[in-house]
Amino acid sequence: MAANTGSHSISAVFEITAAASAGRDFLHIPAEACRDYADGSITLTYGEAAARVAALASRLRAAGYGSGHRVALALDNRVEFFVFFLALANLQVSIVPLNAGMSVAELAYVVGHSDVAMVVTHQGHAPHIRAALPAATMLVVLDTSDQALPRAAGSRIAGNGEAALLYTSGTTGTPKGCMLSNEYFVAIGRLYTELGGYCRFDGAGDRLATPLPVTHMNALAVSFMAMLMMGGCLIQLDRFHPSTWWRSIRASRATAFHYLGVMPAMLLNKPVSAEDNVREVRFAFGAGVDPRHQAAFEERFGVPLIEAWAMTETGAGAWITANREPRHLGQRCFGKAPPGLACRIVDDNGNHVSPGSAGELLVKREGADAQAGFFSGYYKDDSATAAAWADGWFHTGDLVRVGEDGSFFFVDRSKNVIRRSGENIAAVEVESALQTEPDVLASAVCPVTDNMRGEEVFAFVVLRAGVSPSLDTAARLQTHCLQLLAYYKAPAYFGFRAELPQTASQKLARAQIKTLAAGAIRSAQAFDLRYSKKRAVRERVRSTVRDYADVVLAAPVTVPYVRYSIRSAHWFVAQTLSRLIKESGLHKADIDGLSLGSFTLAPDIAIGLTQHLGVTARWLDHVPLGGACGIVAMRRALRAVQAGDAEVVACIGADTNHVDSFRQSLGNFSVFARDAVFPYGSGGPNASFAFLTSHYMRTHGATREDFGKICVAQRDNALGYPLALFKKKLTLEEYLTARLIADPIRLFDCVMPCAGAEGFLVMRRQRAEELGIPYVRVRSTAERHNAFPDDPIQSRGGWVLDREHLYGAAGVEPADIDFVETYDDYPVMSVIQLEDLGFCAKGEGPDFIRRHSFMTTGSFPLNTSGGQLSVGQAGCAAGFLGLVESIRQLTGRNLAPAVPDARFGIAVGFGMITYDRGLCSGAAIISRADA
Amino acid sequence: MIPPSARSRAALGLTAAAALGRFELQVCGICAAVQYPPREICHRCLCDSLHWREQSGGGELIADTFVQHSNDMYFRERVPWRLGLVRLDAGPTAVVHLHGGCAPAPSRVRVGARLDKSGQGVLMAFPFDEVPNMPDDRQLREMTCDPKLRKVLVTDGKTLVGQAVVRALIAAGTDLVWVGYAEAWKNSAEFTAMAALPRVVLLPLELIDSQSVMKAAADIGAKVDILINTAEVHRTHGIASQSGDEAARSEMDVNYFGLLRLAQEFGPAMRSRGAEGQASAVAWVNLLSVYALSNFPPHGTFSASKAAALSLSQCLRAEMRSVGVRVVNVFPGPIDDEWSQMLPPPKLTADALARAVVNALQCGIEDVYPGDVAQEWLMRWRENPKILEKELSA
Repeated sequence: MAANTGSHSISAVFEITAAASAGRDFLHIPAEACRDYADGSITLTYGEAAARVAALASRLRAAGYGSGHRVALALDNRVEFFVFFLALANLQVSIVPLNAGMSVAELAYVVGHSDVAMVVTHQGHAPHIRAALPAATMLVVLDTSDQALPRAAGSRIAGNGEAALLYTSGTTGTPKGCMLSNEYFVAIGRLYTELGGYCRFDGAGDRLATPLPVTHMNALAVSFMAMLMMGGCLIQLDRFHPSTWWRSIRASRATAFHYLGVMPAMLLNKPVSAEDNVREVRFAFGAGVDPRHQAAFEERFGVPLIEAWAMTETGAGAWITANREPRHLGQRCFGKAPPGLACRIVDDNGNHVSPGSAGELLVKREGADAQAGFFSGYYKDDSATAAAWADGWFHTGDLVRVGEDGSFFFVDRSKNVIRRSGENIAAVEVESALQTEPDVLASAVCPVTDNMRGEEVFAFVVLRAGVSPSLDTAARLQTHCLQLLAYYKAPAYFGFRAELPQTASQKLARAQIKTLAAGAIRSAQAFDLRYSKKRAVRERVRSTVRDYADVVLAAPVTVPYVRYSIRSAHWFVAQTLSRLIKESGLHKADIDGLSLGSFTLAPDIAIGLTQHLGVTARWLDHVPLGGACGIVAMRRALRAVQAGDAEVVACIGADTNHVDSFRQSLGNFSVFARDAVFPYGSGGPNASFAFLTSHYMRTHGATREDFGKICVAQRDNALGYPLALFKKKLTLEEYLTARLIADPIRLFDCVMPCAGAEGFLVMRRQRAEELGIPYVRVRSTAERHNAFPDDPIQSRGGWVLDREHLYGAAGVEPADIDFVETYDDYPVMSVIQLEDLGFCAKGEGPDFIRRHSFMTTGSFPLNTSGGQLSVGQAGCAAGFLGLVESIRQLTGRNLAPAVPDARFGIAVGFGMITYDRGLCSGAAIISRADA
Repeated sequence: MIPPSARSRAALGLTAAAALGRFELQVCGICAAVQYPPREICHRCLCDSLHWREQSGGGELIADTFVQHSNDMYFRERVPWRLGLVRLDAGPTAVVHLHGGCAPAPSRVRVGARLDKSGQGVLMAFPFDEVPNMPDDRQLREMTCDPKLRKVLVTDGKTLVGQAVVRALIAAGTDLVWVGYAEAWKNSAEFTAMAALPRVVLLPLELIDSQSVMKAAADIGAKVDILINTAEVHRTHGIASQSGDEAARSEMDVNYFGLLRLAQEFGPAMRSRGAEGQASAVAWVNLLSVYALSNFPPHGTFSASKAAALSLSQCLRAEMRSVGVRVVNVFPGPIDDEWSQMLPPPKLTADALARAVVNALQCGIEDVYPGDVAQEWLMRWRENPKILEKELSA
């Protein structure tokens, strides 16, 4: 079909295309880009989109929305954003795209400044957005039902023809609202689709993929309008996912994609694979590729990276693209000025620079209307608009030079802007935020190069006298910024100085500061807090989960395991309690809280045990959660002690094992097991884990040798742990040729059911110090039950959802962890846990195993006492095994060989296979008392 | 030795459908979610408006394994046993018995429900497209009672239906058919022809005579793998249309007491050979009538005798369950024989009925309603038995 370029409004373009191409795809969201809100990928045809847009438009019209209103949309890159945009465009209502990552203060500013009549968001952002809104501003939270829309209340202030008010960071602190007309959008679509050269659209099957946010002009106007005009399909991702990028591109049959400078770097960083050749993609369109990467990327992936230059303000009015040769690869070349565009390159004083020298780029249209195609001005800021258009030229703030053949080369930004992962951050804005912290006397913020993000934010701070220039102070200042600013704006690096370099005119010497910052990083004179800028961390800062600083774990005890016992579980509980008392020096009466995990107490539950043991408790818990009961019992006990509901809680996991009890327990494990597993003869979880193991092996290329390496290493660890039931070395050969249980599972993939018990005490830190007993600190914990219920087969656990919280709250990264105690009921679960906890990416487990050694003294100490695979699985005690071993390792009272200089460990819980998968997942990061 | 048979009440819906040869799952009446394993509430919207609905069974085999070791005594004797994990197109993931003809994961399969040896519903995945000799799969044969290579007793070879059943059994590859006959002096050409078939052995058997039944059981009871009781007496009377109880007594004597005598004499021997691996007693088939569900007044006393037989068959089924012998009940509508001459078509031919019996054995179906009339009658009865009664008395 021919491009639909004759229309003058977004709405008209859409209507004409939708009528001509009703059956064709309009919008496609790959599954990995809508995990948060949909079960699978989403595809909308033009016809379907038109119907939804029409229905929504009529509801909006009925609610009184019309020309001149503005509506803010905080809908991320979701389908609803586009439906709302088109429906509102149809009513000549202007939109204000909101980045929900902004802080409450920033959101409040934008919402207030833009005079919106209504804000629309989804449930995920609702609490955050609501906190930012004045009482009078109406908030619509989308859910599955078509709830009524509030009556339009705001005034009709948007100028005629305004389609969007888009806020950019500006350079001076507060964001500026760029008024963008319908013509602006249409002109961009027309310009881009008619560029030609490498940027070829054929109108028959164009499918353009973009991971960029709709809160930026690129995704809001360029990719969207291009597909609208061509009748092509917009493939809109929520963000850039490096690990699945090519899969997304291939699966969604993209013919072109948009990029940011950091994307090629991250994609090149991945190992070369047979899937690298993606020649079905005609071109990639973007800006800011690292000069070192452009040629390498094109060579490896066969996709030309077409560099371009434009700004929100300049739109189609000033837009330069390197869409034809010569493209001067690797020289930051963005092409030649197109006909009709007038350019000047000037120095600080506004004079032309000599040919080939760098200067600020000034642009305008030739002819009568110098501003044709440009934005319509900054909303409520005529002086800023006038300043930008001083002397009739638009001042871009970018330093460029022009080569002999007329090609433009990007040099730098003259404005004080940091460009991090596509976001422009004004240095002044960050400095203003720092300045509100009383300990900060002065600050200077500048960009530093970052391999992942292009640039990162660096802050030099002059501290008030007496404040220590420490990591703690840096973290505190960063937290302060995170509360005031969108997370990406907070400094990732802090350097403390006695004074800041200034120019003769008493201004900050920006260029010198930049050099100093780079030097500070090189010489390790700066505090690196990049990690805590991450996503979940800012969630934590917002919700401020209380930490466990005042409560600790102590007195790790084990009642030695036996294969079969004639004792009851009650006996094992009593033995554990007795050992806890002896280990801690407490009296029985001092223990006023009891938490029990056991499967074999029936018909008793925890309460019966108080009488059995003669314990008077004021806090009691029964947590028979199998492999997760240790983590869960600990979490609850920590909070109980913290809250003062108990002074000392004994957490105990204990089970007995009679000759026939394991078999008998299987059929009664759950209703689902009885109805839908046990009748199939698998007799326990072996078959479920055979499925899971074979699925993992098939999907990720793991081999029996990989799992064997883990089992053999754990056995080696167990040989040094006197309480392990297995006392004989295991060879890889023995592992590989052991009796087949349910292929590919063989004997040594399975744990041995046995009797035994584990326990520890939870108490206030002060109490432990008074008692003079060693203790460990709990840095963070998480539990998650029935995560990912829609996964057809278990390939991940709740850790995926919780790991950022785990590390964020603990203030550590995976690299800081000295040992890991996985829940190793089968070796494949250890691998899945290592992936989900961020030690390697999903599917990279096999490679991780091959690279590491897992003995206590190896490169990655794993299950340091041998794990259940070599110690034995004593029912619910197995859920305590890793936790108790972690306490031993970190208090130096280890029975197994010590992990050298261990400061941080992770204990993982997993379990309760009531049907086809383990429902519980949990984890805790534990540290040495002084870490 | 039978597989684990305990089930929750919710899960018995699967069994109920499998007994009719259907694969049904719970579908939410509010949000349309399809769920498995069965529950009493919808896992998505938490309502309790769940309906068992027939499923196509299409799905993807995600993973498969051969269980080599089981803690369960039944499976312990039968390992290796093939299991699969299937993502049904309808949504849920299911653990299934896996037919040997299925390609290794990932592959397309079709899931169906079967009754296992314990008489409870289980899921089994089959190759998506037919492969040769599907019924001969070792695991599938544990769920079915295929007469192929088995020894069968047909209790009455004198009736059209009995003769048709014998012919169908021979065609299905039965190893040997004993054919009972009463009234030895009365022979028809059809009976003589049937008796001449290969692998047919005649056996004198009078169901109204305890001694005769006892003698037959003593002769062959320990060898019968499948017993098919085709004997019946059918008179066409209500209550008002006859005087005296002679006709009703003779119906009861064969249709009800005949079954009782057979069960008492053949039952113990078959029970002792139940679930005995490959060469075991597997099934007991009763030729009942759809009139057993609700009385058909023109054939009122016959209906009553079949209702009595149905009730007794449920007792027999309960007693046979623990040894894995399946009791199959067949509920035909009017059969195209001399007793239903006055009834309008459609009527079931003896051959069609015989095919349905053999098919039920091959497919492991427990309750068979062959033909359109029986199907329609069943539908009406399931919807509301009281309405059916009123319709029949109109």
